[in-house]
Parts: sequence; C-alpha cells; structure tokens
Amino acid sequence: MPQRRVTVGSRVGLHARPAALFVQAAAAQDVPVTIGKDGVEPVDARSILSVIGLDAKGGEEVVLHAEGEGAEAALDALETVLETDHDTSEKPT
Amino acid sequence: MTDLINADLVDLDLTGEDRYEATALLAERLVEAGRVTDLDGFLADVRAREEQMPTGLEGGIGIPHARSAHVTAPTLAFGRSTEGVDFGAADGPADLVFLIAAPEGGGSEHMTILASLARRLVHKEFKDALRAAPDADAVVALIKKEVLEQ
Repeated sequence: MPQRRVTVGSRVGLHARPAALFVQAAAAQDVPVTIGKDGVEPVDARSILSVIGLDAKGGEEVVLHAEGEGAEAALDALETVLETDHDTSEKPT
Repeated sequence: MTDLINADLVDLDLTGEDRYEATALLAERLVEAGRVTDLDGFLADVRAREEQMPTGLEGGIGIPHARSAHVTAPTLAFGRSTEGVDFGAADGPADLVFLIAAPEGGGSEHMTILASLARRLVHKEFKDALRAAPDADAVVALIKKEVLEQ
C-alpha cells in the first residue's frame, strides 16, 4: 500500500487550523487516506477530531497511507499541505 | 499549578446568539476566576483565531481557543447549550463548547490538551456523558478523569 513519511511543517503542530486545512485537503482526494505516527494506530485523515487527537507536533514525522487509483497523487497533494508552515504569516494558535 | 478547569468555569446553560456571544460569556468566567486580565483584549485574540478558520467540529462541538497575552494560566472553560451555537461546522451548531485559553509565550501545553480532548470527543460515550452530566462538578470530574488523566 502506498505510504509516505512526512515531517509536519507547521510549528504549532497538526492542530486546530493546520489540522483543519489538512482535513479539507484529505476530504478533497479521490481515495481514502489515513494518517498515523510511529507506534500510533492510523486514523481517517478526513476526521478533524481524529487528526487533532494524533497530537503531531511541528517537526514530528507522520505516516500517510492511501490505496487505489490515484493514491500516489493524493499522497503528493497531502504531503505538500503537511510540509507547509501554515503559521508563518499569522500569529500561531 | 492551578487547575485547568473547575466548577466555576462550567456553564451548563450557555446562551448567546452566535459564537462570539457564547465565547464572551465563557470568557467572563475566566475573568472572574482571575485567569484573564482583559476581557476585550482576550476576546479580540479569540476572534482573530476564529476568523482564520471556524473552530466548529463535527458532532456538535465548538473549540474556540487562543494563546493570548491577557491569559494568566492555561484554562479550559466548558459550556453546554440547549439551543446550540453555530461555530461554523458543516454538520450544524455546537451544543458542547470548550474555550481553551493559553498564556502568550507558553509552551505547547494547550495543544496537548486540545489533542487529548479531541481523542475523547471522537467517542460518543464521552459526549453523551457531557450532555447528561447533572451539574458542573460532574462535568469537571468527567473532564479530569477522561481528558487530563489520560
């Protein structure tokens, strides 16, 4: 199954606004995607509560999984969202 | 350190026409508890955050929050609304509202709280228990047990 290890770019971590942006992007993909961390059960990337609950900090590595037609494209798109520091232009929350 | 939440920070009959009014009502409790020094300043910070992206989550939850220079200690306030308050979630208004306030320059502690809270809120049992809690003390006990001791 295609997977991708990505370092979280947002300094505040994958919480609140960065998490919401990621979830929106995940929901827009053609295939289901999961997100996990080492030692943590992967969760549905389209569930904001589950994603926030992962508690992925800035600089921490997460693992994305996707399956089916277009999986690699979905992973590419989500990797970009995750690597972006969404806090640079605004006050961190 | 001070408790993250206590019974004075719980409003089981939260009102407010919109999320800003509801948030203001909860924030007043933070002022009374000495956790927030400037109500308007704090609300402006919460509003700035809320305007970036609404904090309504699926399943009737609103989590307004801000890191703010007007906050003296990490604090969680909880409000339960019979009518529901629109926090911008796609699936409808929130009846469970958590206001998270963190001091400026503080660490990532409030994000850990948010994450822990989110992990519990995935479970229907926890939400049901919050909706059924008979009084503020029961809510505090529930949150301490389910969220803070995990």
